[in-house]
Amino acid sequence: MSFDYTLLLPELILTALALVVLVIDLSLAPGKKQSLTWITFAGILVAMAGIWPATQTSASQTLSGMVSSDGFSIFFKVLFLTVAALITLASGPYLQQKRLPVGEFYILLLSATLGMMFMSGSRDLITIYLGLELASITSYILAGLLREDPKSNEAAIKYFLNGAMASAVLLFGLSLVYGLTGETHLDIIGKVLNGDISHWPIVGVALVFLVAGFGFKMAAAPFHLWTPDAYEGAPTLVTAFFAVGPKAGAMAAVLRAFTIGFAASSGRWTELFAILAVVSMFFGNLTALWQTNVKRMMAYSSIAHIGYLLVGVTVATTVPGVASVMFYLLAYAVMTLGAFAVILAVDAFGPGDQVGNYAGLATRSPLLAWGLTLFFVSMIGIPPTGGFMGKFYLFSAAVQNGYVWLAVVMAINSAISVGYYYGIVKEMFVGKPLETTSVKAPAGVTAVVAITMVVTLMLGLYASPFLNWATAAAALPRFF
Amino acid sequence: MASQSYIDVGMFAVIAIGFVVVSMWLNRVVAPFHPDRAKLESYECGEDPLMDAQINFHIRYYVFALTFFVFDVEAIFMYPWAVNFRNFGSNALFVIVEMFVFLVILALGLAYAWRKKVLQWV
Amino acid sequence: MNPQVLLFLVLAAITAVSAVRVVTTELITHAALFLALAFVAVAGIFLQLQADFLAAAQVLIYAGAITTMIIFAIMLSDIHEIKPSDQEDPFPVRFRRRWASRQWGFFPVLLALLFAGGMFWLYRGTGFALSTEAVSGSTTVQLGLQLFNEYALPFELASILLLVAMIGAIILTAKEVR
Repeated sequence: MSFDYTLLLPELILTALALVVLVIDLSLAPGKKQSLTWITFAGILVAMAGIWPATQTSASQTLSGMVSSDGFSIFFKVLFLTVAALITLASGPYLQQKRLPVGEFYILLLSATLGMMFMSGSRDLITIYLGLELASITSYILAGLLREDPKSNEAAIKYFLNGAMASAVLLFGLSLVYGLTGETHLDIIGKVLNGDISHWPIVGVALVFLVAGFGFKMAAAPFHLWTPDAYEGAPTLVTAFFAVGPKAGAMAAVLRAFTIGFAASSGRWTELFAILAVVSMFFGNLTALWQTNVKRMMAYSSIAHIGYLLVGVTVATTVPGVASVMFYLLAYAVMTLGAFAVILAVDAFGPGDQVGNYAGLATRSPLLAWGLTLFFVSMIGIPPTGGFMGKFYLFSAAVQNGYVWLAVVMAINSAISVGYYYGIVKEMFVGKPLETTSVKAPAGVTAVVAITMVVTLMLGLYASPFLNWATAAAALPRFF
Repeated sequence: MASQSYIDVGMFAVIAIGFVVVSMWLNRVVAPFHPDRAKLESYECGEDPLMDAQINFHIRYYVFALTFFVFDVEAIFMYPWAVNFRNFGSNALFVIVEMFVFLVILALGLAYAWRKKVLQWV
Repeated sequence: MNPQVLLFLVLAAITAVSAVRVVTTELITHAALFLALAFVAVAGIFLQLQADFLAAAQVLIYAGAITTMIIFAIMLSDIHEIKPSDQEDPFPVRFRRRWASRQWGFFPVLLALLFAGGMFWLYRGTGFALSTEAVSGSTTVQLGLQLFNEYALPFELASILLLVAMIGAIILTAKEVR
């Protein structure tokens, strides 16, 4: 049994960290758990440092080829750990203010991150599925953490029921794949499904189930029904996490599973993803126009962003396709976390989460207002931001591969999205504030806003190192 | 065919179900049946039955049920481990550590339930 | 008819009928018991496929533990019977009720039959990858060797999943967790 520990070092550190946090949580007296925030934050940084040894070895697969630590999974591990670190940075005062269980929050956050890391690194259907369940089940629990709030209960139960249904659909698809190939390992599935077998109708049925199952997890329309209520009811910090984390995890699993396991049937699943992309973009953007609750609006906006990402998945049989999805996920993660940090500050430490609550924010808290404006500019896709570069790469990847119509739909949708983002920006700069005191955002939240602002601009102005990194990771010979 | 060995399982099932059916049928045929109000009441060891049979349990029991469930699954995983223990050969150390890690992680769950006082009766 | 096929059909019929009864019966405890029956019948099908360990696990975990959990959950709630409400429902609920009501009850069954028929039609033309290895004796030994060597990672992940589920259940149900 060969077990190369260096390749799994970040996962092992993260697991140990979750267990250490659990033990420390049990030994601390109630109400004295602030130290856990810094232990978790430091631990995540150590786990990030633990990625380094894996980049130095030539070996890339361990545990019977079940997980691989190639450039692709390293890219996603950095992304997931950054998300977890930023959420932790913003968490301390928020957890105290909402009286959420501190230790459990970090244990669940770390376990979810662990699940997402396995989703990006797996080469086997079983580990992909287990990683997916680990990330999903922790998210359901996190959504319901505000036990006295009926909206939080509703969010948890809707998220759970839809997620369980999605798991069933996905598992049915996976069982068909296993029945057809007798294998759960993606490389071997790819070999067996090569040739005549890839034209069988049953392969198409399996693909439909897989696309639907992953579509649920990513909240692509028409599988998005849980999203608005889950976003609105869950604690804002948790919403920030599952707007980014589990979706990026599902996207990583989709990129790996479909390009390795079903490369021979790519003609079929690219069509399915193209349909999902168009429906998600139009549905998300058009519904977001009518929202008065900012968290709900962000839910629909995230559906639209998944639509943009799926444009890249449609051309994921090429290196630029995969690389553009990875780059956009990076930009999406950063700008979404930044926007949610502002929403969290205005919601928990300010007036509330309705659009009207943002009136005059520019005079009350200029940093938050300018930050949110920058993130919205990035989400619309206006230079010089990461969102613009991300959309530009997605756009050119689609055009290069003959999906001009999809690129045009994307451009139209970016224009539609100006409508709802502009509403909030106008409210912030033109609206009359009811109070004149500034929003007392905690230092951690302000730090997250500042960091994400800098990174969003960096991704816009110095995009090429990041894009080169994504391209190198997507172009791995073992990946295709 | 290997499934031959399950014939005794099938026969056992048939006998078990048959025993219940036959004895209940025989009871219906042989026993005298003169119902009155008192006789038709549910038997509660001599107490007068009160209220609905389906009372609301305390939510605390749910945590007991769930703890039981987690350790039930753990037991299922331990069974193939114990049966195979001699067959692991040179890999035995890895497998022992593996099961130990599994048990420690689940024991932490029990410690959590204990420290959070959900196992306390009152 | 081949006794194997006959046995399968009997078990499949028990599974399907009890699954339908789970959603059509009006007493929730009965629904839980029908679910247990469906689980046991599935265990019988596993046994027919010579997956003896899986069959035992199915009876212990699904028919045993999960059914117990479900009955606990029922006993925690106030609802024992599914009754149609007297109030006029809002439009989407009324619409859904109509499709689920008795006179339209055939509709979901029809949908299920269509799906099953479609899948059967697809399966027929397919050469599924069949194992040619003969199973000798109990599968527990082979399963254990595979689980603890090749599938060591999923095994450990499962323990973290169980831990997280336990913590989640405790914070969502127990009083005053601090």
